[in-house]
Amino acid sequence: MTETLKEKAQLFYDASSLKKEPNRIPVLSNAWAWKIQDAGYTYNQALYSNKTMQSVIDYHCKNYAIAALYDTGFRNPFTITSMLGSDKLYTIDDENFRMNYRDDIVLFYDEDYDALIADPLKFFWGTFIPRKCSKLQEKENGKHYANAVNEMFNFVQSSGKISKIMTNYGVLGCSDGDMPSFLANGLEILFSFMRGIRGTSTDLRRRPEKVKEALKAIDSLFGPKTNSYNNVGHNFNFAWDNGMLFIAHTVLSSKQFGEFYNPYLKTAADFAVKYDKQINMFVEGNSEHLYDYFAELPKGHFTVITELNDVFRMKKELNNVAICGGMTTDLLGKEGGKKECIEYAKKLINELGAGGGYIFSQNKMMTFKNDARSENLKAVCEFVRDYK
Amino acid sequence: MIKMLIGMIKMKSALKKLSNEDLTTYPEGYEKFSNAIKKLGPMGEGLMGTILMMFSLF
Repeated sequence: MTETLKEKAQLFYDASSLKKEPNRIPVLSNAWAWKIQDAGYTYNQALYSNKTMQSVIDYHCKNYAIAALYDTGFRNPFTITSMLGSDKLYTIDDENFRMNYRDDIVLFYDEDYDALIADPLKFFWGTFIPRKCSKLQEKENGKHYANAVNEMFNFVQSSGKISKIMTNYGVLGCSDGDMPSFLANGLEILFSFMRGIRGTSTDLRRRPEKVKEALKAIDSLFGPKTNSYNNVGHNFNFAWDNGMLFIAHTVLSSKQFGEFYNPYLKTAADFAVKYDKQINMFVEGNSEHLYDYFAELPKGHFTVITELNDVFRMKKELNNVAICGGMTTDLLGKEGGKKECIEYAKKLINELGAGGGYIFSQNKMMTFKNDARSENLKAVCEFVRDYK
Repeated sequence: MIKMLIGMIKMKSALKKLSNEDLTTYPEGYEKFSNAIKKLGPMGEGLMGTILMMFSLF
């Protein structure tokens, strides 16, 4: 019998709230740019066309027995950013199915700290955005702002169509858009979009107090707006209520995490308890050095979507959070690896799923072609759906 | 719905009038742009936050 969306949402809730063992283990698809080539398109074709992205999502939801999908085409809204010229911060190699942020780019300099702290809106609008968006450096740039706003509306309309496609296939989204977003915090924004790896690491050591002031300034613009929010309880139209994306922790020591990052985690934790919400923490890379902090999270409100952590060890060491991930892309990408993939999926479910608190997913954001062979992924998703 | 459509037309028309301006200045350019967005109606206020984030981060 086909499960309804509500039944799938219940599977996620049961697994992540740690209240009971779900009837079966739900599958989260962690396919990002990978799904574009899998659907037969190039990155340029899909990222610059809302309609093609809809076809990509349609293909992915139709072909894989998944219960939820993280990236619904929002990660690289090039239809919008190309109107401003900031899409050129990425390099796309369609021949080899590769897409990368040009990591040599730093858009925030030493001398910018004081201006950002003094007036964040003035700094972002008058300095940072024009610096980042090449088309805004033209003298008569008003038309580019107008074009970008038009494309934003087209993008929103397309996102609505994608939601309908997912609903038709019984696939949940991962985040309730009506909830204040915890996705990007000041440190992540400084690290990923402004200062870069080297600059952030150096500044954290050499001028920590200045960084803290800068984070406050960034958060004043982009932090979650929780004042007027009053919806208590989990929204069963989604796999989780909201998510956090962790990348900057990869350059932080455990002590630095406590000083610069953990305050964000505490804010999210207080919110999750107050409003009884489920939050996924999408933690890129390895985060095993942060378990002391993760162990302090309130029980039954957080799911760690993990990449490189040893999930079996994680299950033993953290009993307050749910775990999502584990299926290695090394196996998923292996030619003739279907049987091996299914055996490993079985091991994951048997060892991590017992007693609840486990959601099946890949062990990294699937971006490159070799991250999975479609026949392996298909077989594994169907196996997990049917295995009880 | 009709109010929203009217707001959308007003906003697009206001943005079109700014085509040849330099909107990167603050507060002048910012105010001109945000006033055009606010023609959308009550949604315009919230939209400015989304636009700021979209333009800055993506």
